[in-house]
Amino acid sequence: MRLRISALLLLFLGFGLKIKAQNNYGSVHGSFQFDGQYYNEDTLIGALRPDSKIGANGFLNVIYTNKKFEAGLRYELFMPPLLGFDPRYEGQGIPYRYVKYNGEHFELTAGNFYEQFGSGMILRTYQEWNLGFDNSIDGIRIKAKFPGLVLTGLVGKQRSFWGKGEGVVRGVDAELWLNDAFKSLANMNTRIMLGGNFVSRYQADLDPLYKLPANVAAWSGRIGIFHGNFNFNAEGAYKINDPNSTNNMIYKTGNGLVLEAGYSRRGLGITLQAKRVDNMDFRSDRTASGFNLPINYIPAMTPQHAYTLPAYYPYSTQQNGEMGVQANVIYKFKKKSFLGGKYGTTIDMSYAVSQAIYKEKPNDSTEIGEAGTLGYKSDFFKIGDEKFFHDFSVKISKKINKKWKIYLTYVNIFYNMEVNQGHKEPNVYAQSAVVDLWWKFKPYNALHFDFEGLFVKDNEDKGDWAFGMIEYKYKSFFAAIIDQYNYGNRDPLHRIHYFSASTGYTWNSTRLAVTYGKQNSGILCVGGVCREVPATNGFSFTLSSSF
Amino acid sequence: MKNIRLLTILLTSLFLWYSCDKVEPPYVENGNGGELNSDTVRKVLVEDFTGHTCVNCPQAHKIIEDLQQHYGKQLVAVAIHAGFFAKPKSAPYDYDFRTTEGTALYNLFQVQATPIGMVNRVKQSDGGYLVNKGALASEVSKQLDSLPQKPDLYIHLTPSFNSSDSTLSLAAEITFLEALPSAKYNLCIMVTESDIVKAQKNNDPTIGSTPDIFDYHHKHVLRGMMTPTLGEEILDGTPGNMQVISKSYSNFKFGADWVPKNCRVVAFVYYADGPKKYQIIQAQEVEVATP
Repeated sequence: MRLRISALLLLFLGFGLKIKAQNNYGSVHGSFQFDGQYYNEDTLIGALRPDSKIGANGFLNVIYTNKKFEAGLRYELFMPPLLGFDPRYEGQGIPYRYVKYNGEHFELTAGNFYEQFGSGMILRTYQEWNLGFDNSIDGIRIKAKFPGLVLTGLVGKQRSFWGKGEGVVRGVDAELWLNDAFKSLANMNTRIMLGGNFVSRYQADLDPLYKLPANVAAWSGRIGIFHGNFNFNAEGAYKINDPNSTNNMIYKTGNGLVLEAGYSRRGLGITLQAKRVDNMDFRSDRTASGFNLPINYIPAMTPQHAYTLPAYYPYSTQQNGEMGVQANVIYKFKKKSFLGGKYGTTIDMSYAVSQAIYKEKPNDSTEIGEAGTLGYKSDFFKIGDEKFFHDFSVKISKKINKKWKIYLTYVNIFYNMEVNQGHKEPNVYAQSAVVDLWWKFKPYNALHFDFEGLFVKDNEDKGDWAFGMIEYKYKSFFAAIIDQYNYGNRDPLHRIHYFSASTGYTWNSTRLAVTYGKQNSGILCVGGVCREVPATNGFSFTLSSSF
Repeated sequence: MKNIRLLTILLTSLFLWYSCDKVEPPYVENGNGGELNSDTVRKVLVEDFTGHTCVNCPQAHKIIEDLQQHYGKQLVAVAIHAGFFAKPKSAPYDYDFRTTEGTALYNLFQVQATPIGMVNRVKQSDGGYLVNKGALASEVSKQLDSLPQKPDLYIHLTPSFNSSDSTLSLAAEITFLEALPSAKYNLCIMVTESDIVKAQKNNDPTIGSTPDIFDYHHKHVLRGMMTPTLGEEILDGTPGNMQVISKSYSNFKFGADWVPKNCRVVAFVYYADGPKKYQIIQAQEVEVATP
């Protein structure tokens, strides 16, 4: 009963607040999403049915602005959380609320806010609803804005489910655009950005076993150079001793370096990235782990696949030690050229690889990673022996004629199972192929065919998979049937078809989607941050809107 | 430009306020080395949800061992094998450490992953009862170093083991030493066994061989309970000054492969209702008396 009332309240508020009056009373806007699922038990695929039978996640975000003043809140509901979300989210309330004054030179925020310094290697707070991730800071933030210069200072505690983390986070950031700050450089063709930040966490030392630093600081410096079609960005970071749950209580300092270079012009884009991080897991509670209370974010060096099977083995960023490179080239063969054809052909290639950093004993009497010691020594330029991941992919996009479009994808993957999923299972070598066809057979009517295969060497893990989807679209309406078939599973009993059917409609900015069927278990990652998705069997419903 | 300079100076000053603490070795604190061995001291229960195929669990076991060395008899530990990583698998992981009661506790406290623990089942700031392995030490310290050494109640246990039929009988006497609120008080009696030598998965080379330690000495493993999982109510109301409540239990059957001399009885009293529901007031542990 409570669930129905809360859900109805959310629906009512979501649709009722369609007031966008731009008048002297300011304006209201926001967004809304509700995800509900009804569970059937299915022992064959390991799908559980919780006692509640239903899971429900929802939020309503409302923002009011009036000239320089802004206030907002987000109401959330998890009653109970969908399977796969942390059960500590169960409940409802307003975990996010703020007021903001946005003046010409100063911006002041009190309450919850999200912020990022540079690439996020020292501080990044954000929310990702589908991951169940939210590390907002509840405190005060001041920004001072001048021509070419932005100074930011903040202090607060991070959200931890319906409470706050123990530690207090304090930080300052300065970002200077030379061309805007100095008149003599205003006309220079090359734009240069310099930035620096300093963040520290205070958490009392109550540990009876170790002497712990109550104040842990980290800082970074960054540079960005933009000249014509070229750009270059670099950021280097450092963290003092931070014994914590994720590094097994070692006293080694941390460091990180991210480099990025790019070139883009009409028809061609090239990006090269390189990264090294060493002991850079940084949280506002030294005992936290998993999704809980990270202060920083290590940029992911992995392509984001939109298709199901190529995304089956996603990489999980290793904040305490990884080095990697990623290269991406996108090129469009011109229209009416030999390879371009009548409409042009686009090819998108990428390669990403991540490896362990090199580690050696800090001294003869201490093992690598031993708690209560310096942990290890690591030569910055040496590469460790263990490979974590690689992904090589090629995607070809082509419009064949006015009715047909085709997308072909090939992916080659190496996936270290223990590093990415924590299971001591054999590594996975896999290849995936996708044929994605769109057929616009009548105006406003289209059929979409998506056929995918995942071929796992030696049938490790769950072996080979096939995926097929046929989708019909008519203007804002869609209906699809899907089958994901684990034909290569070593256990014949688990060579299962995961059938499902889905339909939905979009009215302006409101979207409704309904799905019924079986869903395979897997890993959902956004930007290298991942959560497990359990297998489910049943009916799910999503309603989202913005106003 | 002047404003920018002023601001920079202000910010730099703030910078200096944010001290960072570089710790010099030695990094390890000296504990009481278990000097507080008198029985009428505050004792805390640490429950460790674990499993023999859980690769990170040996690190949690090590932390609990270190805490036991630090606090001596003030720390009572129980290892509850439950969940996915406690399931029997192919040899050498075919032994079943699980118990009905352990699985019930695993489900009741909504354990999602191991290792994870509870310290006196104190409710945490996130609304749950679970404590990461990294927080075990500080949570134990909050219970033992911040509260008076004299416990709020005392549990006296007198076990008696009958070797002819491998059954255990127990007399428990609970004495309320301090004024406690009106509530429902429950008593739980667990039986644990240490030095069960079986395989354990491990990924920490500083603890032992990886990925397997084939002769791992499993400690304080929950073997069963002499009371129901959530215990038995011993009082509903306000405890009187120095009030004594006696309970007895008999004919608890030991498993065929249990080694009585390695077994202990763990008892604790907790709030069964009210704002501190589930919170343990005092724990106690004695060896199983063997003739």
